[in-house]
Amino acid sequence: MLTRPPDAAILLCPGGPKVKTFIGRTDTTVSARPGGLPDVFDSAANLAALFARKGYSQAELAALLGAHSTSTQAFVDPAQANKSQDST
Amino acid sequence: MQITAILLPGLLAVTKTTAAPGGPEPRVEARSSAKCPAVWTSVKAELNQRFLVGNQCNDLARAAIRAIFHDCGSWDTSQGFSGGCDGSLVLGVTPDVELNRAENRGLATVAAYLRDAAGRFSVSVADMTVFAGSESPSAEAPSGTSC
Repeated sequence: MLTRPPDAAILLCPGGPKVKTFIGRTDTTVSARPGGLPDVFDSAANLAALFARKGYSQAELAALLGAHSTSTQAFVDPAQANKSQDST
Repeated sequence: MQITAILLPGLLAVTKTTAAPGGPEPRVEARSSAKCPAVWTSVKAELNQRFLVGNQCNDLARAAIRAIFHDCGSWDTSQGFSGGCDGSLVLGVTPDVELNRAENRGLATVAAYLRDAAGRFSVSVADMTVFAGSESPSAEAPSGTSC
């Protein structure tokens, strides 16, 4: 059962969108199938195929990747921790 | 024809609840008119405190955005109504500990927080993960609006 909650939002990361959230999920202790998340070094073709299986169009995938140009990483290459993921 | 019109929705409802033998019950009914459970107002107030420093979200808030994707993003269309946002990022121990996978490095702190908060507010870890991840990028001032 899903019910609709959160219209309202908190001032957290300023500039972010207001997202409607649905509530009613049940938990499991069974881990997700391996390989469901993208590898950070995946090829464009692999990423396109992986996200197509999740229902993402290529344009949506491009938007998702583009959003990472404003992010930093800390764990893939600890020597470069907190540097921007976009080197341009 | 009138009978058909009355019966059909009932039959569909039965079909839905029995459609996945052995699997989780389909949870497909989105009640757009349902009122948000009051507990989420309290959750939101806590997240507001924990995720904000001054006017900026902090590392815990950023990790919460990462956590929602790492719990939910493992889903694909072949899994139907299972998998995805099911709390397994935090709770999954079979056959391996999901949180210990390489791709989940750095999420231990937020995972511990989500598990703790879900327990304190008596909501599922899956819901807490999604709520926290959705609230993090939100941009409105605390409005006091219900949910």
